[in-house]
Amino acid sequence: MSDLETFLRRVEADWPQIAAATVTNRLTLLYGCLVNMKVAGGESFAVTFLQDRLIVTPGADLRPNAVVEMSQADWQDVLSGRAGIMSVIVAGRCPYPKHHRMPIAKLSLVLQTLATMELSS
Amino acid sequence: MTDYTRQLSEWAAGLRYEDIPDDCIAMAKEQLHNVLGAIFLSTEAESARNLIAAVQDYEAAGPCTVIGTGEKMTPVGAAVVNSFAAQLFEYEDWVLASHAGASVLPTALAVGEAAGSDGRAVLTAIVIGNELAGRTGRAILRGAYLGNSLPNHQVDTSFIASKLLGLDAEGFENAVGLSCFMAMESCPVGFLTDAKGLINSLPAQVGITTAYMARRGLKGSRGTIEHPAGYLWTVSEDVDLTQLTVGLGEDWVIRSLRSKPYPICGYNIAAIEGALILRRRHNIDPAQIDSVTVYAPASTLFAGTRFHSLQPDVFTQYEQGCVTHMPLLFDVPYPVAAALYDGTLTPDQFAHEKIMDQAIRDLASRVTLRVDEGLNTAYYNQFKFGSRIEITLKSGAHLVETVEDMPGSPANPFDVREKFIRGATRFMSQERAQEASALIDRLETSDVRMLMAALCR
Repeated sequence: MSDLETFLRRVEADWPQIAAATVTNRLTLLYGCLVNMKVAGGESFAVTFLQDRLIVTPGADLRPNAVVEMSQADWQDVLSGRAGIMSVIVAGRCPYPKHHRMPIAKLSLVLQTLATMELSS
Repeated sequence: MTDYTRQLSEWAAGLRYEDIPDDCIAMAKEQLHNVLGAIFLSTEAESARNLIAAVQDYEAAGPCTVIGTGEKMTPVGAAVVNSFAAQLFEYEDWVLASHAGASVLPTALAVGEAAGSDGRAVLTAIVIGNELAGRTGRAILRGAYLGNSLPNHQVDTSFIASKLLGLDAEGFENAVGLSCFMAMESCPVGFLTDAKGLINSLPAQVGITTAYMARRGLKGSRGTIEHPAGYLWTVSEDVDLTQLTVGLGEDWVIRSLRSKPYPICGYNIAAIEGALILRRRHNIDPAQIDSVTVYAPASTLFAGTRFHSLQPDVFTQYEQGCVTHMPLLFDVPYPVAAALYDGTLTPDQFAHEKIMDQAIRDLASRVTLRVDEGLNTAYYNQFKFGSRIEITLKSGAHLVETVEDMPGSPANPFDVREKFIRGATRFMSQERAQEASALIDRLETSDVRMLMAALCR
């Protein structure tokens, strides 16, 4: 299993608990969003963020709310929490159309939290 | 549809100094001390001096004052320059979620000086500006933007200028309709350079210009702030219009003022405070630090790692002249390391020789950021800006400090007058600086031209 899939499967398993601690307040606009998370030249997952579950489907959805496509190296940085998706965007390596902006901004915050935060219980 | 723009225009046009609670006037004076201090401490930097020269290249002189250095410009020119200086080192403030001081004060002082306003009128305009900045910022807080990038200042600057130019409610509505027509948003990449310093200057430029236009009878669109094809819905994916007027005239936004004790992104202030506390308490030799971990809300990581994926990295790009000190004001590792080395964090820690300092860079490379669940919850639920910093020394000693909420918050104020005096004395004697501070404190008995004369060498 790849780094991205390993990360997503780990999060998927404990999502209700994780979501309660991380997708709070104004980040809840992420709920209901479907994001294609793609490794450039490699695998892709369509991820739907719901309050009670995370739906991770291999492949890419045809009508996503946002697409995040980055190199393997950038994904490793993001999944380690060393950087956020926004860091890669500012570096010019993750282009996106403006209407994808809101879910990507929320997802950047949530992923960095997932990558670096220890849950209390 | 509720006519929010009309309601806000009528409220602002009718607001009198006597209607504002004393504690809110006191907060306006706190804000003046803090932001003027920030301007004094920034306006001699090279890019601020270059901006003054540029404005003088394209504008004739006018009646308004550049704070500190004393050049005379048009209201627009002075507001642009003073706002840029307030933002150049991220040394200003915010109310609710909106960085208000760097748009509100330069606009109020410049238009007030041009109009010959008395102190009461300027203080009233400052309170109005904070009210509009805070409320429009809160209305779009669930959209993609956060913090300093919230695109809302074309409203507050328009309202301030309209108030000081004596427009009626219809005039306010025309002015804001004109001001908000070309809705500005910031490009994230602009935070790498001097461009970011314009983040409040450009809305001030438009807000002032269009108020003058409205005074001469130009019409702006009605209901611009709330209209489905208007300003807030153009700049944000999500808008809560009820925030615009809930508690208006009772729950004063300026009471939420947070002033910055350090020149840095507000999300990172608590981390700096924690580092400085540990350094003082344990007399830390920075060369003996093995590693530093900063625990914080997610927003601190969002801002504090925003430039960590640059290729080449930010220091190399700085050396190549592609970026300025600006991205380091949003960083966590560099300012934490600089603060640990120097025992303070001022604009001096973002000077060229510091940025080139290899020892600071080496320590910065050993600073790690992590989200803390409790601090994250406190930020999102209670608007607390906290951090916990853990320093491991090469000896194995482990030092920990938690700052639950930043200094400069309403519950944890710092001495903004000391900041003002520290800045003002770059341009004038200690005695004159004290007199200028006292003039702010009794501004309602004076006028803004007298104040501006006291604020330059």
